[in-house]
Amino acid sequence: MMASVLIGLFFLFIMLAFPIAFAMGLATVAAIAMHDTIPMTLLAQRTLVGAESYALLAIPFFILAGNLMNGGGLTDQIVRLAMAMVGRFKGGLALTSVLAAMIFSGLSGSAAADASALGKVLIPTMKRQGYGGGFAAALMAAACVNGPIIPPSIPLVIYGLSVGKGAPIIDLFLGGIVPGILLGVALMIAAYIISVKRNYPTTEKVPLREIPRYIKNASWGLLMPVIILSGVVGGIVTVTESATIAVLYAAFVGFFIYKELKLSQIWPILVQTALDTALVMFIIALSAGFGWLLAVSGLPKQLGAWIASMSSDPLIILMLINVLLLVVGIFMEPLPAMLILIPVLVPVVSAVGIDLVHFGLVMVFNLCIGLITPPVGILLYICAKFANVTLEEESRELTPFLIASVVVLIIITVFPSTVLWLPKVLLGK
Amino acid sequence: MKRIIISLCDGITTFARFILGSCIAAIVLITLGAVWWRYVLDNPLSWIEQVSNMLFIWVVFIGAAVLYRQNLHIGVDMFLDMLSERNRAIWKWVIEIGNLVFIIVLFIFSLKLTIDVLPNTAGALDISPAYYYAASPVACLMMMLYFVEKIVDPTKRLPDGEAGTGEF
Repeated sequence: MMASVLIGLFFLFIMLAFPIAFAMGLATVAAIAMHDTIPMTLLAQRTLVGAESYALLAIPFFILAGNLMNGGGLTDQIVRLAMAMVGRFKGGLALTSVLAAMIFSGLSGSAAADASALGKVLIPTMKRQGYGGGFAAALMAAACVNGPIIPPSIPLVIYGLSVGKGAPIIDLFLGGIVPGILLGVALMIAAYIISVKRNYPTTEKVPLREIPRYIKNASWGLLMPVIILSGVVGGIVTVTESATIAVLYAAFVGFFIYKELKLSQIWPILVQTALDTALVMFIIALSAGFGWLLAVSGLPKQLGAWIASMSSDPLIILMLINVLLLVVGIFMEPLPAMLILIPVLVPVVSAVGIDLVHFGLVMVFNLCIGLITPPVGILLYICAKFANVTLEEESRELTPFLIASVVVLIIITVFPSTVLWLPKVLLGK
Repeated sequence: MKRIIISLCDGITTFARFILGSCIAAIVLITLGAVWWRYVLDNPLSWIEQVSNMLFIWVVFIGAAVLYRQNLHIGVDMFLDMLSERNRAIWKWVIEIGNLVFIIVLFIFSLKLTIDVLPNTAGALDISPAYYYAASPVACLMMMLYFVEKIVDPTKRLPDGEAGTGEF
């Protein structure tokens, strides 16, 4: 009863255009009010405790590092490098967009940040070169799904923290690299086939021997994920601490290497980072009470028993969960979906022996595909705005990229080694 | 009256933005300090975590209040787009009142919690958790004031600025 009030009201409020955080809060208040034995102070207590975790501090740091990099002139260098590498092929600018998004994903933890930074530059350029606006927007949106998959990644930090033991954040970060590359390659193949069919242009051919020069120019950006990961892999620092080092590094590159970052920009960037952080964290804080009530209601146990009764084969269970998550992703943002579903699904998958790092990547990858499914896909909105097209025009061009993403999802689901190989090799587990 | 409310809200928001930027700067600096003390001086500082967490909670709640004033909390607007302009304006008020109900409930019970834990102490600094928890009633008070501002000033009912290009 309590679970249906919680989930039912939450969905109702979301559909009626309430802000996600308040929809969660109101559903929690209603569920507590219906229950005699649970005090309302619990709402306040869970909400405050939900925001209190040292590891969550990695979130503002990754956001800040991304904001500093963006102000520091790195975006141009990354686009130039990507263009020098893949611009020579048919649909060069389309391939450039996918590659640039892959590189950019290594600097920011977020898909929306990538889409804003790159879409602003690349979508209008694609349109000028004769690519359809709908195509340009759909491709850019799909390419930015990689943001939370290639490390660093805010959703993977949140998954790691929610699960705790069994899913160290560093394993999740390393586990995202191969799936991210697979997604990039799959999208490039899809974009290339369409470009050949429609005879989209190539860009200027850069001689191969000049490519090292482009790599050198962008190398300060390329080094950032290496710095974040190597500190943690080497056991020198925690993820939170390595995220502060990324902040220091981004500021250094912006001020002294590219010299585009001004002292006067620092204060607005700090305030913006605080607001970006609050936007995510307020939802996380409110989901703590919601999640606690859901657990008390016994729904996770029932759902777990139901899934377990369907099959005991790990692969079949993962596939069933994938279908569930794809449907959920159509209606919900990844973050609230994860916060609600992790306590429900993780006990089920760990009972049948599925690796929790593997499951984390499957879950995040799957829900991030939801970022490019109408009607709630935030990336679609960001990119449609830059392309000046309607959501309908953009959605019509989306099918090949959605298929490519789902194919990669199936590959990483069926072959756990695509996720687990790299952490195993680098961490020696 | 209208002018007093708006300038009061402006003043509070300016101060809140100052707190937000300073807290983020402070969190970055003390975390860097923690790395230095632990790995270079081999002398970990015990109070770092507690202070960072406290600043962070204030960022989250004060930030949420500022986002509320600027109408930047994310939601799904599909339903609003289906309504006529007049009905949309009415429905937005329904949402605002729903939000207000939540804000009032959170205010009452987080204030109660803050007062309840006032005599307790915890952590490396041995301070009361009330220093953390007070962030919630303060933010709720701000949001209630901003709600009044939305009544008197129609321009405060529209999104202002951007947030979240750094999220998800």
